[in-house]
Amino acid sequence: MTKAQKIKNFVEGVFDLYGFNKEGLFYYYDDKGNRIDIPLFLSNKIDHEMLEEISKRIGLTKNEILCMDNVAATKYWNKYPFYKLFKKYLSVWQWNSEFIDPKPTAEELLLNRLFGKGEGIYVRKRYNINSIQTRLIDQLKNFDSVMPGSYYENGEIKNLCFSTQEFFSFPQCSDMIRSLVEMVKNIQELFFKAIADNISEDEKLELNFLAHSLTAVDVVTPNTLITYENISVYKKVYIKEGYTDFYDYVKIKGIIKTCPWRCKEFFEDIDLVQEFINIFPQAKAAMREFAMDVSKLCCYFDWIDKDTGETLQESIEVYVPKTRKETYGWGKHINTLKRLSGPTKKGGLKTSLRTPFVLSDETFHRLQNRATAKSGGNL
Amino acid sequence: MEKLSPQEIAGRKLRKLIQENYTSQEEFAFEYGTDIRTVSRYINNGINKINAIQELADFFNISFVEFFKEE
Repeated sequence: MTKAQKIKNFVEGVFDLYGFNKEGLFYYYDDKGNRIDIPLFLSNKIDHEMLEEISKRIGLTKNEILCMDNVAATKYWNKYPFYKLFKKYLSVWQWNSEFIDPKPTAEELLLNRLFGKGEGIYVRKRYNINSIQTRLIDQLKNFDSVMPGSYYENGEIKNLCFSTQEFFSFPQCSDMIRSLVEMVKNIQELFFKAIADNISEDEKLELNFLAHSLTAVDVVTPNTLITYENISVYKKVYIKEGYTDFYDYVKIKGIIKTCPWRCKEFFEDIDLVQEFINIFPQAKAAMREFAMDVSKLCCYFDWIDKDTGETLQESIEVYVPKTRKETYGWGKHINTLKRLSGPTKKGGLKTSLRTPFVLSDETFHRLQNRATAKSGGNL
Repeated sequence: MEKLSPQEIAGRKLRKLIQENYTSQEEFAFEYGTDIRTVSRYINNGINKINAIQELADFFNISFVEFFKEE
């Protein structure tokens, strides 16, 4: 194996360790969706321009990459427990309805021993569709008293199906989030140090690493990661804008898609949850939607005339609250989630309104300044 | 005086709830996870869908029926 290939394997290992996206550097997808591998170094020769690019992404010096320095490669892994915990978190993160039922039925026990997975007994949650339909009809009759047309006396519910959400358990969730919050605090500090030209070489590397890991981008030009190089290009713009709030310059895009509020242990430390929302204020709305879905069954159905079979109303969506048994002991977590995701005046988490980027005079001006800075012009 | 439909009553209720809990409709829209045009439509034209009212009632911690109580 050539040294170029060994270095390629080393770099790929670092990408895998920290969960960096390898697309664009190690492979791409063609028009037909086929994955095409890309050699890291063309003609198998170590390319110093590519080394520079890799250095900026993974926060190692070119020399550390050339020496395939494993100690350097794991420095952020050791500094931030987030990475180790996040890998564990992803392995238990579930989008389907499987969960561990502490009291499976005898039939389910037998079936799972014969066909179940290796660790523990996984029992698919079951809901009684007849019970759901009965409760749905009772609810619609009640709604009809205030919103006529909700219930059809001569109607029949057809094609009823439903969806719902569930919590999962990851006991180290708070530790993981705490480490994430520390990473964000550090990148904030490094960002302002970079603007003030008061940043060491090691700090530049960490800034670059965190920018990639957290997908921390300029709020006006969201394709621009806040690496040291890009901050240097925009520095005069940032100084001129004069904001003191980090989030007036930067948006953190990474991590949020993994929805830690689906984990019941997420709510153990409310102050920590508030810190998370300070970083990702848009998560509060997602928490609200999840609160709705985890506490209720979302029913989809059509109303059909009993006598004629004619469709009276179709594709209706109505929530039916779960019974206590259907919430499987998560009542306390559901109540906490609902309160925290509700209005601040009623005990909900505080959010800062971060208006989505809309082309106004102010944002156009900010965009123009960045374009001028990039082209080397004077502001 | 023109009688309001239940859907319009629900829209008025929403406006009142937003005024009681937020400084602006934009602030509510952001926290709730919708856009300002939807909020305006709900307030001005009424709320037609049961599930939309259910979500709002749940958010403000009031019952579905309360949404239709005229103030």
